[in-house]
Amino acid sequence: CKKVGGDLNVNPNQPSTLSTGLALTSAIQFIGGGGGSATTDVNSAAGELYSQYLSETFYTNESRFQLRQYDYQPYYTGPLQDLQFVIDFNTNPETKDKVTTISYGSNNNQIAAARILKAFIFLTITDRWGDIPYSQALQGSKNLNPALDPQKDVYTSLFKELTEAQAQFDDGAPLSSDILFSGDNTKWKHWANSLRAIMALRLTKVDPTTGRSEFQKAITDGVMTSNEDNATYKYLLELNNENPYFNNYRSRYDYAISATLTDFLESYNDPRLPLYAAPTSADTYVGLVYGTTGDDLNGVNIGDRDNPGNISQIGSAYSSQNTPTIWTSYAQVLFTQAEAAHLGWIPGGDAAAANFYTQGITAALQQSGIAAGAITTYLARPQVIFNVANAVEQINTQKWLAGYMNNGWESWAEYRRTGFPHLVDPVPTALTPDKKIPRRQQYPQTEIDLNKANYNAVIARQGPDLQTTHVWWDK
Amino acid sequence: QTRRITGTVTAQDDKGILPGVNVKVGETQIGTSTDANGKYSINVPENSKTLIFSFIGFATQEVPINGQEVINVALVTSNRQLGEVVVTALGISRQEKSLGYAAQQIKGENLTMTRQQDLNTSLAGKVSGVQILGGSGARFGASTIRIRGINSLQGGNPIYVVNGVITDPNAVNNDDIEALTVLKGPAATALYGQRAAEGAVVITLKKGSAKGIGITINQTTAFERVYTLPQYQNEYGGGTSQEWNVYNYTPGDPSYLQNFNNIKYYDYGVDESWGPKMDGTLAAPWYFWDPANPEFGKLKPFSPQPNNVRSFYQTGLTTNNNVAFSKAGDNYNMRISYTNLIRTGVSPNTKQNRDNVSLNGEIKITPKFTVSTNINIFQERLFNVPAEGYGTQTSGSFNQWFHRNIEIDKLKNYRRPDGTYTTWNIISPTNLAPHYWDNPYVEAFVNTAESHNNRTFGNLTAAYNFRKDLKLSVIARGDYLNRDANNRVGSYTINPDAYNESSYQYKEYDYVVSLEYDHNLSKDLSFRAGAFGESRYDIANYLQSNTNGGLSVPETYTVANSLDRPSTVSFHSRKVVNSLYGYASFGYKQFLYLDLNVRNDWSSALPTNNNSYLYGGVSGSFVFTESGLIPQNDFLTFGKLRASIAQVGSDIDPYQTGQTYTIGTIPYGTTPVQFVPNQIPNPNLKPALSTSYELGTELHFLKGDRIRFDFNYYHRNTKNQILPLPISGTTGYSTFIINAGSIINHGIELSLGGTPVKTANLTYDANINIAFNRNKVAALYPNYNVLNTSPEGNGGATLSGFQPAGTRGFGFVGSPSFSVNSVVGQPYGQLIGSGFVRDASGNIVVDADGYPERADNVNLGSILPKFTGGFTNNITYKGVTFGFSIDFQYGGKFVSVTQQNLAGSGLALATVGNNENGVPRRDDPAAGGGTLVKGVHEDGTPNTTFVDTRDLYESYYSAIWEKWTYDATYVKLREVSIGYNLPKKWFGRIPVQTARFSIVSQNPWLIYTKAKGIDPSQLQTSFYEGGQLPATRTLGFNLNLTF
Repeated sequence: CKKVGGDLNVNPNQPSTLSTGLALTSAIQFIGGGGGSATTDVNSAAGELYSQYLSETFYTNESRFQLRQYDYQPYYTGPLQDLQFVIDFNTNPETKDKVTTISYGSNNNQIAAARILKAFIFLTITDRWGDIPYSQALQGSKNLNPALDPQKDVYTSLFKELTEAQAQFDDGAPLSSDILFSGDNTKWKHWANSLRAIMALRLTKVDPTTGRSEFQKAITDGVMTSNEDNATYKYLLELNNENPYFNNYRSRYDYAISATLTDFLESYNDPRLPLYAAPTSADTYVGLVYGTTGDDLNGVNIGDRDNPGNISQIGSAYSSQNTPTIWTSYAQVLFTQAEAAHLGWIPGGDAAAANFYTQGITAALQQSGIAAGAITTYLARPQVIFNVANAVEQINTQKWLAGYMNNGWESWAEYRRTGFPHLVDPVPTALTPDKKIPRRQQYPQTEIDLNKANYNAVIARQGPDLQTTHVWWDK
Repeated sequence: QTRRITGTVTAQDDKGILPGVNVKVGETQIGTSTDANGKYSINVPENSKTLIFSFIGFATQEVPINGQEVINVALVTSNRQLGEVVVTALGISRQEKSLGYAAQQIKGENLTMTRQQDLNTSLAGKVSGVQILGGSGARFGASTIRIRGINSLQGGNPIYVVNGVITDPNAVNNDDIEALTVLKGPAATALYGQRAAEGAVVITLKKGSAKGIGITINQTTAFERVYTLPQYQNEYGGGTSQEWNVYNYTPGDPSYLQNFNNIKYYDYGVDESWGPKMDGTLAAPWYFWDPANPEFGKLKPFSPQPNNVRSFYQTGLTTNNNVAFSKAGDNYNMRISYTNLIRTGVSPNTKQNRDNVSLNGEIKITPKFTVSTNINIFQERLFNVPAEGYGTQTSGSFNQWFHRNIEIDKLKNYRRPDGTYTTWNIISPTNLAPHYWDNPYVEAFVNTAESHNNRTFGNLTAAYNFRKDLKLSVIARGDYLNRDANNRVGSYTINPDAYNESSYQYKEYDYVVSLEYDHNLSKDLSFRAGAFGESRYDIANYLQSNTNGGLSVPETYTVANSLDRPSTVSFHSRKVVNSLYGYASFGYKQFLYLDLNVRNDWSSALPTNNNSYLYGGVSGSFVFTESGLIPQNDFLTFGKLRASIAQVGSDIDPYQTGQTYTIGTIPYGTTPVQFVPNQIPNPNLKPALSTSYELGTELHFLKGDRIRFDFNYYHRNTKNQILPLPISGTTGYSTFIINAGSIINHGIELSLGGTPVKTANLTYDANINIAFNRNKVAALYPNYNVLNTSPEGNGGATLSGFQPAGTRGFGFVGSPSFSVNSVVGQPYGQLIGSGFVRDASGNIVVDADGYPERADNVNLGSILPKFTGGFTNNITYKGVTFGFSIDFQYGGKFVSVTQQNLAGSGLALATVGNNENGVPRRDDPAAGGGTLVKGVHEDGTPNTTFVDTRDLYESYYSAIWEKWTYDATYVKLREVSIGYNLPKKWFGRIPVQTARFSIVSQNPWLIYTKAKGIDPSQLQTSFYEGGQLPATRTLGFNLNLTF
């Protein structure tokens, strides 16, 4: 007769302690995604579709906005929770000095990186859904029904988090198992401050005063200074960690480059066209008109990599197994500064704006591997030359062009904020009543099922839980 | 003053001797049983008037003594299911009339009437309150049963106790079953403890007997065909437009196509059938473009292929051979049985191979000391059991998505000389690679899977009778499962090639010491009691490895051949439950009975401070017809009232009380990952308790008990269940393991049986039963009114294998989903999902364009039926026996994802035909075509706008699950058998005792179903199906010989 009790009920299958560095890796890997098409990847299809980088080739429901309820819970149960535990393990006196904690970098460095990643994820979530569980989230059994915080408060808190986190790095042991910046504290700081600048500019419509002041502080603390600083997620040459669009091109070919994008690239005579798009069988570059569906898809043939059809696939440079995706780029930050200068948020006026704009284009083209000569030629094109009257449109159009296959959520947010570039909007074939590009995504069903009171409260405050409801900064 | 009476008891039908028959002196407790040779000897008081002979499966016979010294009796077999002696919990044989709760016993022969090999399916319609949740025969049985509704918020299954060993129903061979008792509620099952919370099926295996030479041969050959398939349309073929594509050679195309111009073709690359009309137009089939195909370049009339899906399936063949050897003597009895089953499925290249060996023996070492054993060996090889659901190796690839013009025969040529595979779903004329789906024959012959189940279970028992009324037993029981499985995704198929292999071991060691006392305290008062100490140790080990990223060398299926680093999962689980329990039974004058039982468990899976829990029950029976309160009469021949109240406690799977951190199975390259699991552990869990009471009566009417009626009412409340409460993921977790909830089931069970006709040559036995169960979720957890759980449970390491958690719902990413929920104040199993927007009068509301509007979060009804039941019949005329059973269910909802896909992909019958204008509904609405959604606009005006049919089904209806929710009501002729007892003279000098030939059929007729094209009794899960295998029926021939 075996005794009940003792360590019989101790799980032999999993450790009872967290190796914090491995949790940091896990969090980064999660939002990088790979091997499939999760809706929580930074370069998820919905973001790339709403931004009209891509069109759907056959099953067109997502690009026609039929999918409404997107689930944000995986962010919380996955990377956010893991990062919270990284912070807790590096804070709690009982765990902060354990080998499984301290061998992955100094406590401060781990906490700082975890806070920045958390802020980046929360920024993505709030920009997609609006008001979100934030201050009461991630408390486990202590609060089973987290209230949703107004987006304004989330932004305020994220400014604070990023400001504190970028200042928290110390000279102790650098991060190990950091698959984003390889333990380079400066790059982490530059990323954090760049995110602050991006967030600050998001407030142009709703709160320019705060936007301006936060922007200035971010610049003072130091944003990205070169393409080396890019927050780049590197996919690997293996199925489980491969670029999701490579995965899609293993057989399905659900996505073609959108005509919205190829039209811009062609009209600008942009050297990135042959990189962004793959040639058709006729050796041309043909985008698929966004929202094409039903009988209009007859005769449309994307082919496959070996046998191209009559519309262009995503260029191989952007859909190889290990094509990286850039979450936040130096070019993007330069364009952000260009708009800020144009608005007078930072010194230099439109001259500075022009300068940042030109540097932004240069950085973007370099990031795509365009040769210096071609860059010079491009910068001299009439549509490309900075024009104060069209500054916001030009800056945001170039920022959009630079963001292809990167952070689609960010491009969509900037479109909502500025209305640029000129996308197909409304989409005539859309499956929504107003046929417009969504202004947000609907809450997951679980909020209705499991958090009803808070769900009702947020509807009363933010407006109906619809794709047409504008988020706070999108006034 | 006593005197001795002796005699022999035989069976009337075959004259075989009957050992073990109870012989009792009327109106006393004096009794004995026949020995192995069917002989008995008994001392009876002088004034005794009758002897009563009773035996399972035979009608009890009361014989007047009339001064005789030798009384030989021939017992008549009984088809009665309410046997006089019933095996109850712990294998205790009880007189049925003494039980204070409903316990329905079925004889083995009634389970094997149609040679149904799946134990659960063979129960269909035979036991009141038992609902069969069947699966398609194409996946080789494996159905489950639900007893008296759902008693746990997380669902669950009853236990199967075979000669004391709790094991998997799949491992039980029906040929070896002597009798089976379904114990339905806590009063009956409390002695089994926590694991019987959902009921228990107690099985007694056949013992050795001294009838004849002792050889039985049972041979069955059965043929299986696909029965139910969805209703397909046969008007339009593959593609998305009724217009033909026209091919003209353009430079750059493969040169072998250069002579082809003006060739009509349809869109092969889509997997839908919204294409051209199948009007015989000469067009290019998919193989036209394949230079390796013998029919390369040959045009074909574009014509309907109404049976293309059905023709994919073949006739399955089952041979089931059983031989049993049985012998008994004064000091021993032994039975050895061997069964071999070979079955090929209706799905090509599928096979099941099964061997069962069962040994059941007993030796009386001394008159006081008996040693017995029962060992069962079960070996099963399953080859290529098709999967259900969405993905490879399923029927979904050509049942939900297909071209209606496909000639299935052409797909049989599935491999090209260069090693690649053909498919109907080629990307385009110039690109013969598969687009979305492989050829179904590739799925069947290349993407293969196999598994081997080896199971040994049984017991070893030593019993010592200190006195006639005091017995000490020591029992060791074991159940050992070894399972290995592997499956392949073939090289050159649409998905990266892959291989995975897993092994699972489950071991259960169980030791019991018992002391049992059986004594008549006085002439009128009998007493029986037992005390038990038990220790059970469960061990599960699981190891699984799979390749990643493809195979380095094609077509070599080993884990080591992985292109990327292979992944491995290993899992160990240990659990100990120690128990003390006992019972006491009192009987007063053969008409009043009282039972008490009590049990305490100590479970290692619960927190140390909460790991002990006590429960038990009381039950009573009052046989008023024998109490003297009413006079003996020929109208009401037997009448009994029964009542019980009981509790049963439950624990959980191990390792749910302490926090751990999961090491991820998908590292980032060589960098490992670790994360926080999604369930909040709980160190304060308590055991769950379920309380029930039941009341019932059993009445027999007319002489010979010609009409038998049984009524039962029960009420059961399970509280403080241990369950993973789904919580908002924004807490950082998705579930919290807690004690919560209160779920109430109550219901009535009625059965009416009888022998309406009984003459010398003709006997007709019939039994009808019906059960109404009402369920209510009374409470969940503070602030929680909806609980989303799976009726199929949480999976994990079980005695049937390492199982994934049951699904809680279904939905394509980002699109509306449906789920199964407990909602406070409503019955369990509310389907909640997207529905139509309806006005106050219930009309469907359409938008300005005429398309239906969608409402999320609509309650689509409960999955639980209003009532279930069955109707069994046996007619014997001379040597011919005709039997059939019908079972039925009323109500209960399910969702068909297959129907949703079929309609969206244009395969469904509903998507064709003419509309109200007399114009094909697939034509352009502008030209009078389209479909009119019957409904109103938001302002109340009726809808008159015809909309594009494809858009309606593919983009609108597909997102409205209400449209695809069906009522599971059905009536089914489940089993039919016609048997003939072959005359012995046919066998000449061969010493045949009985010879019987039967023609048997399972599922011959789905008499009624509300959901056309679906058999609700063969669903993939208990609340939805998606890409499920078709329902099947069988016709078989059985020869049974005993020597």
